[in-house]
Amino acid sequence: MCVFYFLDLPMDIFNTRLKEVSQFYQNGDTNLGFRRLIDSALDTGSTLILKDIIQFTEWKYNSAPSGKSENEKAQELITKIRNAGAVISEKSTQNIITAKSVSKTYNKGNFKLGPLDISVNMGEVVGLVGENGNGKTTLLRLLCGELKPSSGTIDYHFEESVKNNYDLRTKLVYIPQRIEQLRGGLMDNLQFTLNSHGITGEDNFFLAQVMLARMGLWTYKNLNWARLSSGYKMRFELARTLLRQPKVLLLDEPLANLDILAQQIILEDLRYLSVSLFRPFGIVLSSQQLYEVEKVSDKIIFLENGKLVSDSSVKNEEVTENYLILEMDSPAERNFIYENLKNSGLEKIHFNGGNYILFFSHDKTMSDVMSIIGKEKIPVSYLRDISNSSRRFFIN
Amino acid sequence: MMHILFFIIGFVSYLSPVDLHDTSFFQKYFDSGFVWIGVLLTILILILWMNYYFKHNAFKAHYPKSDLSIYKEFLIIFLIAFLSVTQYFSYTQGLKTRISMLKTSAEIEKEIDLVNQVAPFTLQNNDYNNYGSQTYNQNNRCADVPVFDSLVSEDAVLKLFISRKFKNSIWNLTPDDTIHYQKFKDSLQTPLYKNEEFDYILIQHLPKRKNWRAPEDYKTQEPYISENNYYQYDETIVPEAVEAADAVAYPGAPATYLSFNLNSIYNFCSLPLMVSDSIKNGEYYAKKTYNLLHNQKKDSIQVLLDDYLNLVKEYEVGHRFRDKNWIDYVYNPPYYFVDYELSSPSRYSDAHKKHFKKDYISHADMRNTLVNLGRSKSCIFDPVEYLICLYIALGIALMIFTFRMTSMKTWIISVVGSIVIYFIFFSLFFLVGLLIFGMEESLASILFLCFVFIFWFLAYSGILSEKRKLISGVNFIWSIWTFPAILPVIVALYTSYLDWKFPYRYGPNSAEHPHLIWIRDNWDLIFGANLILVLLFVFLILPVIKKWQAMAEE
Repeated sequence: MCVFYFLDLPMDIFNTRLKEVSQFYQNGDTNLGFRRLIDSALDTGSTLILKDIIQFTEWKYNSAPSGKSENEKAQELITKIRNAGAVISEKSTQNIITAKSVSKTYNKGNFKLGPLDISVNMGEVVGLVGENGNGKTTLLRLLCGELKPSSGTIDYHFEESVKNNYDLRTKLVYIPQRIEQLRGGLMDNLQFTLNSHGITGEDNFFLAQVMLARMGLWTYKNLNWARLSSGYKMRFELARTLLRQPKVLLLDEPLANLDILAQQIILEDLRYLSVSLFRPFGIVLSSQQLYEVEKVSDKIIFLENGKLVSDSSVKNEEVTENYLILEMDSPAERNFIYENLKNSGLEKIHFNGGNYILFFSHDKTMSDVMSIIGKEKIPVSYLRDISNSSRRFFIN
Repeated sequence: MMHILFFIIGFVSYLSPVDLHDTSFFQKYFDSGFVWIGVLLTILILILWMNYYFKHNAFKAHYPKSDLSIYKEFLIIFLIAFLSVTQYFSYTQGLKTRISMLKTSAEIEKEIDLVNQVAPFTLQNNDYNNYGSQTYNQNNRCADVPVFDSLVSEDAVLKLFISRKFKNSIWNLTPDDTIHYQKFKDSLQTPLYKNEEFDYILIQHLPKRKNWRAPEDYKTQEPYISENNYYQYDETIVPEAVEAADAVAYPGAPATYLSFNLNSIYNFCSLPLMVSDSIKNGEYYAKKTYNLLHNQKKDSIQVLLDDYLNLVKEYEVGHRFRDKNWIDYVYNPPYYFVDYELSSPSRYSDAHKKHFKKDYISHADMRNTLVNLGRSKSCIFDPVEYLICLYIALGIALMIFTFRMTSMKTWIISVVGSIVIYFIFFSLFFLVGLLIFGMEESLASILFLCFVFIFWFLAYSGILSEKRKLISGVNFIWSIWTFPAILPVIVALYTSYLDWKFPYRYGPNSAEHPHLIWIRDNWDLIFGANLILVLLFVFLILPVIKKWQAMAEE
């Protein structure tokens, strides 16, 4: 059983987060501040606070206030939220999924996934990367119980007892790459979701509105789902999913239809929401956006031909110990780069789809390399250390 | 809204008193074609509702859903389906309300009483009336009529009875028979007139009662009645009577039938229209009639007939009294023999009707009118009508419910597969029937149960072992769809078994098996209980539905 209690110590996580929100507003980061403000408001579980958030959102969208006046109002709201306190989950880091020697073989075709050992913790973001057709979707479907493993076991460890398999499936939310077509308006769908989860009355209405505001869909709240763009549909799907109070959120290529800014925002939001004080949950997401995913993931799982090539939670000495691997974009010729850097520890160079991959001896650091590049005046438009990134597995 | 609309339509559907002449007046919903409008509206409403209802599906989306919540959803589907198919009740209620406003219950009772009193004087041919038991024949009297009984002695009846019994022919009846008649006195039915022999004796006292009937009017040669509906008389075999009858035959009319008409208003007995006063039964009215006739109260009879004619005008009941006054047809003391029918021309074929020029009165229409007026006041619950609607609603509900609870792919395969199963079923039925058993309904029942067993086996073995999700799902749906038929089929099979094991033989000592009698008398109870069983079944399989829905694909 999940135990909740009201927190009133001033130096707790909740207050720290509120301080951050306050600073975001003070620094003029109103969009980020607004999202975090709502996250904190959601942690209170208070209908009155939700009402205030809706009023604040309406005012924000209707009167397009200056940064100063928005800050003032936001600070008032932060105070209210602080006074309301947060409802927090006691155990927010427990292990929730353990998959042991899980494999999946399809009757038709030669593909085989696994055997794999995977674990997911509450509040953890697990990134699942790999080229197309390497088993990411199959793994997600296995974890959500949609597919039956050919061998191995998947155990779920939720605090609340699970009565039957259907009950289990309600706690595992899987968003496929091609999201389910919905009918009706956005509010209509969210209210139905909340109603199905026992949230009725004014709480239902307020929470649905707040979630639309949270996911940047406030201006579209009266629209029909079918009229949303594919990127907004994914945002809406996340809004709907978050209202389902999942224990595990399994996302298959959630960034596919999002613009670059939206990708970053969504990933950051997921990271933040997964460690919610009120309702933390685990996330497993597959994506091709390696850097973005790596930024927010606690753990990266790389799959190749159905096999686990790398699990960042397990140290892989073989690769990371040997080289400092850098990804570089430069208009300079390959020979020019090689000639200028070979005496500075560059051992080999690959040209990989527009970027150079440089392998330096392991005793070199990023600073060393940057200093040489500056000294040798090598033109560089992009440079990144991928020694510990899964990006290194995508080298020809 | 739809029910209010149909109530209003029903309310305004009554146009004139002529409508009330129809025995199936309250079935007007079907006869008038509104049933098709109702069917179209049902389809339209269900489509509109499903369009709204299918917007969201919490169960398929794996939202938390308790068994009770799913069951509540099923009951709501069932209720909506039931409300969609029951426009008939609203229409009929509207019609009933309109009709019940025409007269008060007291007025209707008064009119019924009048019609019951006048019924003996309407001289309707028993063959054509709708009530079967109405007759002027002395064998079905409701009360004693001493006027005829005094003409026949018990001894004479007994002698004839014994003669027929032992010699098997009344031709051999001889006065000096040596049989000791009194020994068989108890063999006679009482009252005496109930014995067949009574008529034979009576006719000897009334030799002029040769049947006046002929297929056509002897003057105009126009048929009295349609050719296939002649009153069938038994051949009379009392020689003296034949002779006497010939002597009184109408001039120019061929003595077509050698029979005698002993029908009298005295004998009239009919099932009266029901009134709240239970004393007013057939015997009550028979006694009243007897008093009127015996005391020769022509004036009282005339008053009754006049009152009746007023009612006839009010309810636009067909009648014609141009050749003679009504009283002249009926007032024939002392025996009040019935020599003329006042049956309505509507009882004759169309070809003859247009040439039909005789006095008549449509008493059946009058009865129907009052029956319909009476029904408009009654709240009699007809379980059959409700059962039919409930089963239609159940069928719709199970189709929608299985669609909601399973995947579209599984459901569509189940629908298409049903057609295939249907062909397999009938192929097997004909094949096995031709080769082994003969095509009997019991074979169909056994085959059906075998199919159901296979559905259950494949469905539940798959779901319990969490294997073959699609095949399990399809069979699971079939097992749900066929469940309502299981109990009726088992009952039908048991009935066939009882029919085979204990064949009914006609005869005094033969009786039907009590279970058969019970099943026949309580079939509505069986179907009602089956409905409850289906509702219980749906509740019990909810965990299985959930288990199937949560099953992983292989």
